[in-house]
Amino acid sequence: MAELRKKILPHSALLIMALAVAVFPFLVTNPYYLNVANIIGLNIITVLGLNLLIGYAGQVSLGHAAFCGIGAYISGVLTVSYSQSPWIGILVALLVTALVAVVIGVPTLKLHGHYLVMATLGFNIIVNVIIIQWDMVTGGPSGFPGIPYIGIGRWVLDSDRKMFFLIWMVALVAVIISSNLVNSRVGRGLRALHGSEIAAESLGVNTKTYKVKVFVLSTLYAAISGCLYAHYLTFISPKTFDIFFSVELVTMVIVGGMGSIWGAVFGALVLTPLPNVLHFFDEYKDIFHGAILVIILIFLPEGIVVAAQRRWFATFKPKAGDMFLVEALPATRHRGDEIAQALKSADSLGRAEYSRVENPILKIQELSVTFGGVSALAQVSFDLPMNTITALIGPNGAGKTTLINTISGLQHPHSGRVFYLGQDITGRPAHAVASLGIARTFQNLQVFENMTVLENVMVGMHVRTRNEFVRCMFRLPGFAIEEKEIATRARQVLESLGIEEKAHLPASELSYGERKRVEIARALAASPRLMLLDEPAAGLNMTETNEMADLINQIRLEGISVMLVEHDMNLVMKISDKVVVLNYGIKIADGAPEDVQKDKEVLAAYLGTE
Amino acid sequence: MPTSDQLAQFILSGLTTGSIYALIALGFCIVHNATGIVNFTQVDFVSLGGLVMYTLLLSWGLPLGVALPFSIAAVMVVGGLVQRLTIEPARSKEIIVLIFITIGVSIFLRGVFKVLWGKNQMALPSFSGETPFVILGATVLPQSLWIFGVTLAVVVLLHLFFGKTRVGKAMRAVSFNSRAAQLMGISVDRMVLLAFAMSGGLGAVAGIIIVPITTLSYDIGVILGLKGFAAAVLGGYGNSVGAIVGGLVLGVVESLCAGAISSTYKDVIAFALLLLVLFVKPSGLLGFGERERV
Amino acid sequence: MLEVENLEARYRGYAALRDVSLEVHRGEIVCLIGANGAGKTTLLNCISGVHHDCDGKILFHGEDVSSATPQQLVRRGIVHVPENRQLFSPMTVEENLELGAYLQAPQMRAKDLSDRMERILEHFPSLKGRRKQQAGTLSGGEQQMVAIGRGLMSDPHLLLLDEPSLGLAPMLVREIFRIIQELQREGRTILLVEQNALGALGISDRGYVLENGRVTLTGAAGFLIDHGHVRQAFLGQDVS
Repeated sequence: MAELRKKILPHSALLIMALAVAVFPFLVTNPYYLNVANIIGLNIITVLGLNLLIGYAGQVSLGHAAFCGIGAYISGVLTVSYSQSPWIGILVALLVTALVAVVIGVPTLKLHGHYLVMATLGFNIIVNVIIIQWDMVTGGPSGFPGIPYIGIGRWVLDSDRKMFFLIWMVALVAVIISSNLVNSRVGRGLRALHGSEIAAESLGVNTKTYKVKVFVLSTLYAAISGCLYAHYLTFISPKTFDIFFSVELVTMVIVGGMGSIWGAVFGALVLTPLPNVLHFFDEYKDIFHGAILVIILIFLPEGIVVAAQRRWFATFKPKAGDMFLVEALPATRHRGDEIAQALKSADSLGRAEYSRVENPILKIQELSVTFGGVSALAQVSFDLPMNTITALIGPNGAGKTTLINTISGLQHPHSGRVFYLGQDITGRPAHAVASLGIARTFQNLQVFENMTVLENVMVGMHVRTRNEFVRCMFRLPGFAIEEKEIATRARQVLESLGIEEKAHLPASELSYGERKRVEIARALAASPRLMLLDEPAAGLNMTETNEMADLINQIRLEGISVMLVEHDMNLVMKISDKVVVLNYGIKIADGAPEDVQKDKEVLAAYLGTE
Repeated sequence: MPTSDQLAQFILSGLTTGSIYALIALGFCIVHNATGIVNFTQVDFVSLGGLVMYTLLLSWGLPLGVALPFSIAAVMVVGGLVQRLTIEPARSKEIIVLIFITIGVSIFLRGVFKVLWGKNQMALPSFSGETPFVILGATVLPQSLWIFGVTLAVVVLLHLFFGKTRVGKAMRAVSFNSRAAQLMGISVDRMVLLAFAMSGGLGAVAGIIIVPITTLSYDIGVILGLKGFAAAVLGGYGNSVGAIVGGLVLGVVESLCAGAISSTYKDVIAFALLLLVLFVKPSGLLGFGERERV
Repeated sequence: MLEVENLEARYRGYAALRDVSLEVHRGEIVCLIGANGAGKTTLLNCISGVHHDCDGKILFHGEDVSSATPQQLVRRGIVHVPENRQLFSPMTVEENLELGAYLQAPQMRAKDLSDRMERILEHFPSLKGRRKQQAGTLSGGEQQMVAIGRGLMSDPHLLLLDEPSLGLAPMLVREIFRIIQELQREGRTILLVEQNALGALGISDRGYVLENGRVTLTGAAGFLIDHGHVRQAFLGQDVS
C-alpha cells in the first residue's frame, strides 16, 4: 500500500487534473462555461511554453500572441483559401513558426540583456499590422471567418464539448512533456543556465543553443494553441493576437510563478476568466487588472504558486517522493553494492580512456591577455604536472582569475597557447573545454541557488550525458537509464563529501561552507582529469579551511590533477606540490613551496617595498 | 517619384513626429540610466499630459500659459508617485520584475484614464491657430513650429541641467557609478525619484504638443510611446544624444516610407527598424550611452 | 576619533568580519593590512555605511554612527575613497572633484569652492592642466589622485583609503604614499587599508593585521615591520 502511495502521490496533481477533465463536460453543459474552459485550456498550452522560456531560460518574450496568431492564420488560410486539411495547416503553421523563431532568436539571444523583449515586442506589432493590412489574404480587421473544424477520420470536432476533449488532452500532454523536460538533464541544464550562465557553460551546457531551442519550443506551444483556437471558433481576428494579449500571457506566467509548471497552469486558469469576472466592473476592469498585477509583483514576485510551495515546504519539509508535483527523480537509497555499481556505471558514462599518460597534464605557453590596453597576463608559461596540486598565487589583480578563465574557455587569449594532454585547446568555448575533462569552481560562488543540492551535482554530469530535448520530453527509451545513472553518481559524490543528507534541500538553504562543497561535488561529478579551483577557501573559517585542504588532497589522491588559486597561504604551502607566483600578469616565481616562500621577488610583491 | 515639394513636406512632417519620438525616447533614457529598467508607464505619461491639459484648458478654462506648466507638473508628480509607490517597495529588485511592475502600472493608469476621461476621442486646440505657413515648399502648421521650438527648448534645458547644475551632474554620476555616488553623499533614492519625475515631464510635454495635431484619447500615448521606445533603441539605448537622433531619424524615415511607398504599413516601419537594429547593430546608431555597469 | 567595537559582518552568506575592534586617534595614520579576502574592504564598507549586514558599534567623535547612512557620514566628516578608484569615467577631472563636495556646495560660495579645489590640486602636480580631461582617459596613478582629491573635497576629518596603491607601478606607489604623508601633515586623520604591507607600515603610526576576518596583531608600525608575523600573515607559516 505504501509502495502504491509512493508511486501515485507525486503525480497526484496530474491525476486530479485528468479526472477533472474527464468529468467536467458532463457536469457542465452550459456552452458559455464550456467555451471559457476551452479558452483556459488553450491559454494553458501557450503559457506552459512561455513559462519554459521565462522561468527556465530566463528570457522574456512580449510577442507570444503573435506566434499564436501565426499559427491561427496560417492554418486558417491554408484550410479555407487552399482547401488543405487542418492537419496540413497545423503542420505548416508549426514549420513556419519554428523558422521565424529561429530567425528572431539566434541574433538576439546571443546578446546579454533584455533584447529578446524588445525584439518580440516589435515583432508582435509588425505581425499585427500585417494581419490587419494584408486584408486580401487575412480578411483584415474584420476578421477571417469560415475556418473548418478539425476531424479525426470520420469524427468531426464541431462542438464545444468535443473540442474540450481535444484541447484539454493537448493541454494535459503539454503539462506532461513540459514537466518531463524540466525534470530531466535538459531541464536541469536550462535551470542551470538561468541560475548562472557561466557556471552552466563550464559544466558543458551549450547555453547559446539551449536558449534558442527553448525559445523555438515555446513558440511551437503558442502556435499549436493558435491553430486549435482557429479550428475551434472558426473565426479569427487580429485583435486577439495583439501585444496586450502577449502582456497577459506573461502576466499569467508571473502571477503563477516563473519556472513552475503548475504555476503556469494556475496563472492561466485564474487570469483567463478574470476579464469576464471583472466585466461587472466593466469600466473599472483595467484598474483592477493592473492593480492585481502590480500588487502580486511587488509582494509576491516569485508568483502565487511558488510562494505557496515555499510556505508549504517550510512548514512540512517533505522528503523526496512526497512532492505534490510531478516528479521524475527515482528516490534510490543506495547500499554498498550499489555504490560499486555506481562507480562502474560512472566509468561507463564516458570517463575517457586515456591509453597514454601524458605529462604534464596542462601546459601554458606564452599566454597573454589584454583588457583595453591593460595587460592582464603577459607571456605566462608554466607546466602542471600530472597528479599534482599546483597553486597559483599573487597579489590582488595579478591575473590569476584571468588565467583560470582563459584555460576554462570563458576568456580568449590574445596570444599564446594552452595545451591539455598534449592537445591544443586554446580558444575553445567553455562547454567544449568541459567535455574534455576539465572542471572548475568559481571565486564568487556560482552554485545554482534555484535548484536542490542533488540537482546541482546532477548538472555536473551534463557533459558526460546525452539525453536531448525530444528524448527528455517524450521519455523515449534510454532516458530512464541515463537519469538513474546520473542520480546515482550524484548521490555517490555527495556522500563522499559528507553532504548527502542535504541532497533534497534547495542549495540556498545551506551554509556557505556547505555550498562550497556542493560546487566542488558538482565539478567532481563528471570525473574530470583536471580541476581548477578558484579560491576554494575564501570565506571559510579555520576548521572549514582544514577540511577543504583534506578534501583537495583527497581529490588529488583520486588521480585528479589540481590547479588552485588561493590567498590563504597556510593552505597553499601545506598542500601544494608546486607554486606559481604571478604579479602584474607576469610570472615571477615557479617552484616548490618552501623556495617560493623565501624568494625575494615574491616577498617584495606581497609585502611591498618600504 | 515624389517632387521636391513633396519631399520637403515628408521631411518636415517627419521631423515633427520625430521630435515627439525624441522627447519620449529621452524619457525612457533618463529612467534607464538611473535605474536600469525600461519604464513602460512612459507611454501613459504622454497620454496624461494631453488629458490633464484638456481638463485645465477646456473644462476649467485656464489660460494656456497656466495650464501648460501645471499639466507638466501634475504628470511629474504622477511619475514620482509611480516610483515611490510601486518600484521602491518592490520586494524583488530583479530588472524583469520591475519592468513588469511598470507594465502593470501602465494598465492600471490607462484604466484610471478611461474612467476619468472616457473612451472617446477629444480634441485640443492648437496653441496659436490653424493657419498653415508655407516654408520651402512645404505646408507647415503653426503647431509644428511649436513642436520644434518646445523640443529644442527642452533639449537645451536638459543639456544645461545635466552639464551645468549640481543635481544634474549628480544624476549623471549615479548612472555611471551608483556606489561611488553614494560615497559622495549623493542620495541615489532621490535621484531615482527625480529621474521618474523628469521622464514624466518629458512624456507630458510630448503629449501636450502633439495632441492638437493628432487627437486625444486615454491611450493616445501607447503607440507614440512604443515608437519612442523603438527610437531609443535605434539611437542606442541609454544614449541621450542617441535618443534625439533616433527619434528624428525614425520620424523622417517613417514619413518618407509612408509618403513615397505606402502608408498602410506605416506603423510597421518603426518596429521593423527596431528589429533591424537589434539584428545588425544592437548598440544602436550611436552606440551605448552613459550607464556603466558597476 | 574613531572607535570600532566588536564588529561582525556577513557578506554573501559567510562571516567576513569576526569580533573586530580598532581605534584611530586624531592626526594619526593607521593602516589595516592583510591578504586579499581578509575582510579589509568589508570593514571600510561597514564604517562608511555602504554595507548593512554589520553588527557591533562604530563611534565617531564619541557618537554612535553604526547605522548611519553614507550621506550622514559624509556630513559628519568621514569620507571613504573606494577601492579601484571608482571614478565617474566619462566626466572630467573637475566634475569628479566637484561632486566630492556635493553636500557642501550649496552652502559654499563659488569662490570658496574653487579655492578649495586649487588647494587640493596642489597635492597632485601631475593633474595640473588635466582639469578638463575625461577621468577615464587618465593613467592609473592619475586616476588614484583624482579619487583621493575627490575624497578631500568635502574637507573630511577622517579619510578612509581603500588600497590606494592597487595596480600602480612602484614609483607611483611611492608618490601616493608621499601624498598621504603630506595629508597627515595638513592635520588630517587617515585609516589606510593596504595589501602593500611594508609600504603602508612605512608611513603609518600604527597598524592592524587582519586575517580571515579577525585582527590577529596590532601595534606600532615599527614593531609590526620587524615582527616576522607580518610575513607569515601574507606568505603562510614557514614550511621548510
